[in-house]
Amino acid sequence: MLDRLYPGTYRYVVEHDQLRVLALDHLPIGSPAGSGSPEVYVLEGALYTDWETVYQVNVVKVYRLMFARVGNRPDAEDLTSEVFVKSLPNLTLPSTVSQVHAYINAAARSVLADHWRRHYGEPQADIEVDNISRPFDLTPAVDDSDRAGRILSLLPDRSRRILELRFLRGCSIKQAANEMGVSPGNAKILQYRALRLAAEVGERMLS
Amino acid sequence: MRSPVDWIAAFVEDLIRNRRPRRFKASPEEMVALRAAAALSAARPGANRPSRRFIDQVCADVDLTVGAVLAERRRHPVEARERMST
Repeated sequence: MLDRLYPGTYRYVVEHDQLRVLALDHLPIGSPAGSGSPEVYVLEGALYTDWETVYQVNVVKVYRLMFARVGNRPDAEDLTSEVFVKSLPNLTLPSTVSQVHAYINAAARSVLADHWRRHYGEPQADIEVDNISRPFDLTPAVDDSDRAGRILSLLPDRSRRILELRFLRGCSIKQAANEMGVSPGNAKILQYRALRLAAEVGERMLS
Repeated sequence: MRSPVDWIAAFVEDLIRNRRPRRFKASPEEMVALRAAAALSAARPGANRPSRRFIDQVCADVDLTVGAVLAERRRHPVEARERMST
């Protein structure tokens, strides 16, 4: 079917149970290459020839990248818009997929670093470069949930419990305190310590 | 004045309610907690799906931006290119 949509030479790669299509010659990129199958994309050697396709192919991936870093919809939406507004004026079409992704990738890093610096005073944003470079990876988003689950499972009981109550069950701090039989003040302290422990565990998992 | 523990609790509360978190100057230790909280919030099942309204809005914004850039390039091709490269 793909050959009928975009005549050319392809190499097929299966990663993370998803089919990637690497075009071996330059051809316009579609969104996605296999109509009706969001898991099949032309990734390499292809050309973006119009702005709408650049946006359509990448917007959800950039949004998810931003959401994974800021954890809330309003900020993720603003930052995603900013990435496109920042990167598109620097692009000239037609451009190869890898060139376009490099621009968007650089804009994503810069926008995220600026977000943490501007709103929380972080002097030198420590953006996880390996993860930032994966906005166009088709790894299912469920990986983030799996990783969070693994981190929680490695925490001491009370730390895991407070974070589960807050993030998985959506309990208020008072409700979480009630569930754990502690005062709201103690629940806040437990939560703060648990988050820092979770960060440490996450770091160890990456190293 | 709020303590770090209170700021982090307020930040988490905003994340859980999917509100824009309040802003404050964070210490490096607090920043570690903020980022962990953001990552845990993002890992909630199904939380990372963008809304259709947002996708359409960004599409309109991109159209405006691109339109303005192309118009500028047509008017001043050399200057526009130099300005963009700085």
